[in-house]
Amino acid sequence: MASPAIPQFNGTLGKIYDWVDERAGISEIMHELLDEPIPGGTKYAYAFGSALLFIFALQSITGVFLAMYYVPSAEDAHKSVEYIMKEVPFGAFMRGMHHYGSSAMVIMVVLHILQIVIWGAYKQKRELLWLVGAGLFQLVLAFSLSGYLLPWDMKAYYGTVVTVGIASEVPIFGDMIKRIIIGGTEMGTITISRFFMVHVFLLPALTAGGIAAHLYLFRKAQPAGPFNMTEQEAMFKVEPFWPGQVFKDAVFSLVVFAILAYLSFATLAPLEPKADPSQTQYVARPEWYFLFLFQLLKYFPGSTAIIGSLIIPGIVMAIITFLPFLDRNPERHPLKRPFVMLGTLALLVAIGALHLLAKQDDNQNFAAQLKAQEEEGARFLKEPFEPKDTSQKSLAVAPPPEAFVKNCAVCHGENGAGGPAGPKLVGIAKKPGRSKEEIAGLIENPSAYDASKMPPMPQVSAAERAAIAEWIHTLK
Amino acid sequence: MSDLSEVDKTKRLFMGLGSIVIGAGIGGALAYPIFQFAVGNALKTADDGDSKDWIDLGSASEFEEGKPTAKKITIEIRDGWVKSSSDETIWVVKKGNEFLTFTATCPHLGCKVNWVPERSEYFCPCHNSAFEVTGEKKPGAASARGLDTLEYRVSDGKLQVVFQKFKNLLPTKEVFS
Repeated sequence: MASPAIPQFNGTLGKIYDWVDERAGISEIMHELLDEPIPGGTKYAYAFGSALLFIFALQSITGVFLAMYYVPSAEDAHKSVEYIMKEVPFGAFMRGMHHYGSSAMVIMVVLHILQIVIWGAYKQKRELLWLVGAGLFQLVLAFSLSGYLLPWDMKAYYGTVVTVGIASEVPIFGDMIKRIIIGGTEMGTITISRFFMVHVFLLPALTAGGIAAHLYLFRKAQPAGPFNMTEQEAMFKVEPFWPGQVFKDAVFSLVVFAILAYLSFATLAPLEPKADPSQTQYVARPEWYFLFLFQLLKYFPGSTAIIGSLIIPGIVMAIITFLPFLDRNPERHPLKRPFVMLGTLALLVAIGALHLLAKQDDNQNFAAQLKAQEEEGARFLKEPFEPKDTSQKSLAVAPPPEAFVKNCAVCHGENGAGGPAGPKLVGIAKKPGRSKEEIAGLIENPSAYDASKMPPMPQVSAAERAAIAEWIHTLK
Repeated sequence: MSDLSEVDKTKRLFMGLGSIVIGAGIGGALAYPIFQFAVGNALKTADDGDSKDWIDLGSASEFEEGKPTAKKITIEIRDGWVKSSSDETIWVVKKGNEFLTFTATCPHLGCKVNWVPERSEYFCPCHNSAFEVTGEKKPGAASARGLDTLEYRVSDGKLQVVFQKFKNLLPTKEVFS
């Protein structure tokens, strides 16, 4: 059959096409891919699956290129991400696309599932198609959890501490699972390396295989078509996949792309200062689409915690996964399937309510700290990039004078790297108004040197002040 | 399907071309940032200003007349997000009051040359380029030019050089970085 999707070429171009086609079978593949009949006609409602594929491709491309600069180690991960954000041309854009793309992926997968549920499109021998889809849904969530750690900033570190803590609630094997996930007892380079391998090798491979199976099973089962038409009616209004549905998919994907590109240019993807396990004031929050799960944990104190963290989400996930086996009624019209529709609605309302409760709780109890964290992150992103100094010059820095250790290290850190209460002193010698004499003067009378937050240090002698200033000037 | 009306044909053509244009547009809009991102800072040259970075090779009086001596220097390099140190070897030959200071990098394809006393030549093991003690290339050398000299001075009795890298293959010395 002559396919309307297959281009017709004349002359030399036609000869080249025919030559390739005889050997590669392009026409056959194009016919298979593009002439798929869609019962009831093409619709924007069917664009979510294609959009998911599109975002997955975007995530793959931006991810591959981000890996050109990213280094998975506790020592370098954060610095390399900071380098991407501040020094690499279009680095902030590329990371932005990947960051916002992950949210788009979750939103789209939920829309895709909702569309299938409302249309009853998991029925009529589509159990395998749905099962593979449920697996892909879980892979998307695994992508999110494993990618969250990689920048190794404050939120990455504490977010993962909580996730790993939840995994350790599994009875009997919990501690073993936790140790295997983080690769020991401390989160560090081995943990990052594991998450990196899972995020960039394992999950993409599984997902690619899953997508192939999902598409194959979809073509095998054929599109379900509208829920409000009989099969005969739908076959009467059939339209091919190309070009009608492809066009609608392309328009929808373009809208998604435009939104992601706008966000990536307009708003920097967040990056906070490097993970600091000693920081006690930090309020850890998961990515916004996991906030409802986080809220659920609050209702199950102590030994009941596992109910909120594993049992309830596990049961819900199991119901979603096995939906085609639980709902065996062939009826597809949503209004004639009150049980599934109300269940879906109840789940959405519960998720929405938990999300709002989490927001409300944060606004009431943690607003100041969360705002401070956000400002700290924004300030960090504006700071000029300072390379990590491992040159012999930097290694040759003398140990701090005793007076510094006694009086200054509490706030400014033992090596002047900065701490919770004092700014870092490394590199401060380059700033105006911070000559050796001025630093010595500042220690005696901070407010005279624009450092009114620092308490005066009358106990430090003039000789000690000079020694401290001398040492601070060696910090680079 | 085979009896498409003219309106349907136009519609199909519009949607088909539209899909291709959108696909190409998204691809193009991504290609430019990705290309820039991948090139990264590879074409940027470090901004050292005008000041020359003089590196000590030790006391000028300790070199033996006419005998090539290897001196290790440590230079600071910027490697992506890391500032670190790297070691390089300089060949020094004393000629009366003057010095010859060569980088050990072969101007052919960048391997390192070693001094072979038995044959009285600097020798590059990669493509058999041999150089005289004065740095000129010997006949049959793969290199198009002799060893590259570095600018030097004697300051407070100390021999100092400015370390530079030069472009490969060319018959004349040109600064690479």
